[in-house]
Amino acid sequence: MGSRLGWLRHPGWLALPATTFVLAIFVGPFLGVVRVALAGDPPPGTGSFVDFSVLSLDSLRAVQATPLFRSVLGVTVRTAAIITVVCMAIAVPFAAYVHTRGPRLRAALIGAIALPKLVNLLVLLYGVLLVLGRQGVINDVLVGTGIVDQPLQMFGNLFAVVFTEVLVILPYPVLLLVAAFHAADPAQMDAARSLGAGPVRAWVETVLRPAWPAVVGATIVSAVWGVGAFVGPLVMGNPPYWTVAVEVYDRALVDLAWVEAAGWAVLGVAAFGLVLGLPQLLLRRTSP
Amino acid sequence: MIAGLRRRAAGAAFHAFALAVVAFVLAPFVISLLVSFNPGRSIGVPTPTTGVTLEWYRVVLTDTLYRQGLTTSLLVGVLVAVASVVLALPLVVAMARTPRLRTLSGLVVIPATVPTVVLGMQSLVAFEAVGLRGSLLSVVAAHTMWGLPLALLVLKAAHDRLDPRLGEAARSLGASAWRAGWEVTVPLLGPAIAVGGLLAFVASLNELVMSLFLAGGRVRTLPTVVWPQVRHAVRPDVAAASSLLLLIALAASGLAWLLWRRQRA
Repeated sequence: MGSRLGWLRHPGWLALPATTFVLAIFVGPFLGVVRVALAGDPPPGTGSFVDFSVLSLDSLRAVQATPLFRSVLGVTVRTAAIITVVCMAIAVPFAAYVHTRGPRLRAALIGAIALPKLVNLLVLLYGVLLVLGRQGVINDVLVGTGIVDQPLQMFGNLFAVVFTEVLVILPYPVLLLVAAFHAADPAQMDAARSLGAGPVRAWVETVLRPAWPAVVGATIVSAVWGVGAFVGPLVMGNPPYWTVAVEVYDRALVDLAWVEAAGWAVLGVAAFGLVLGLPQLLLRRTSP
Repeated sequence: MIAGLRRRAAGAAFHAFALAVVAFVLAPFVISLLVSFNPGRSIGVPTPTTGVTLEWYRVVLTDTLYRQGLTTSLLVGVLVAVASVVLALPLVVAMARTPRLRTLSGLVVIPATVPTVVLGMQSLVAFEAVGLRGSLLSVVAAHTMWGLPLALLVLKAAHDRLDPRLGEAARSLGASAWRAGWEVTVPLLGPAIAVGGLLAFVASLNELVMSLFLAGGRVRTLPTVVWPQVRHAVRPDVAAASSLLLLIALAASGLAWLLWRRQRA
């Protein structure tokens, strides 16, 4: 009897609540969005958003065929690429700086860089509006020192979008890289120095090179968040800078065109999966 | 001599670079905080001549819409914290005892890598289908997709550092596996449970996009109340509302940090 019911006492059951939750709240609804993307638009006046009696690729094809979708996809990938490059160009040297400081300063710097992740996006947006605005700090300094006569227009352009999104995303690559650099053995660095390497060369060879997988990981994380960029492009950019995420939001909540919104979401995720996944697959193939 | 000078210049440039990054990251928060104390309806930073005011905080705390938003945000945050820990803790124990289950952590973390607009869209569709769109439950469930991975990472890190012999000792003294877990493991993980809950709370408090998709008549979190104003007008009361969120999040994060230090000690 006891042995027959023994499986009931297996600790594996403890994983059930969390697994059920993720399946019900994440996996199921994601499949639901795919189903909506394959459905049809309901006849007007029915009060519903989706006609589930339709099951075809027509809606998806219609979205994919529009020039707008292709151009927005291009804008999204281009913006994400710029955001990723800027993030990594700041994150690698900054994480190196953090890594080479004493414990107290290191903790303070980590706290400062993590701040955008701890506070509300709106606080951040509001602050960016105040920094970049016509009467903002940057314009005050530029006009006050006579560098420019008129306040610069710093909104509704790529600069503002990238500025905002880098603020939002930067904590991830920095924290990942600081953790990876921390794992380096300081004795190796000393050994490299004593063998005649300069400080930069010694650091690159003994810290950066072993942490290379983390650098790749941090780049991917930045890119994943970059393609999902929403608030920066919507608030700080004009329609030419709108990303797939903004278009999904617009269609779902402004136009109430759920089938189209789901189509944008599904095709967007598929495209980003290809863009982000293919290089990894190729790398895995070519590496021994 | 020249090499020494060049090295010193490179060092100074390195310091300046780090300082610029910190300034870039902190400026928006500091300025937003300062503006919330600025007297007068225009946007500006208070100076010794203008003085400071708490008027905008009074506006935010007495305005019905803001107050409801704040109450909803705090309630949702607490529920998300509880749900995240309650789901993560058994999973951590299961993963520790059954190594094959460790792949599940990947499943739990995936939602954190999906664009939030997609999470919002799918939650909208799913909760509409079951008639729960706009309910407190829908917002809590959606935010827990973010809270659960955070609680999981914290609890797993703490659980991996526990001495397994303590649980074994309890078992050898006759306690059942459940009782040993409840009376030995859970109390030892106390600070980590609080940290995981606090991080999930902060993540929920700050979440905007999924809340926008799910917001209904009654259930509107503070970020969704502030959102239209950030998009269309820049007013000092928005600075006060966002500064309130900043202070709550900072207090929660500070507490989490102190508790985490205790867990690791």
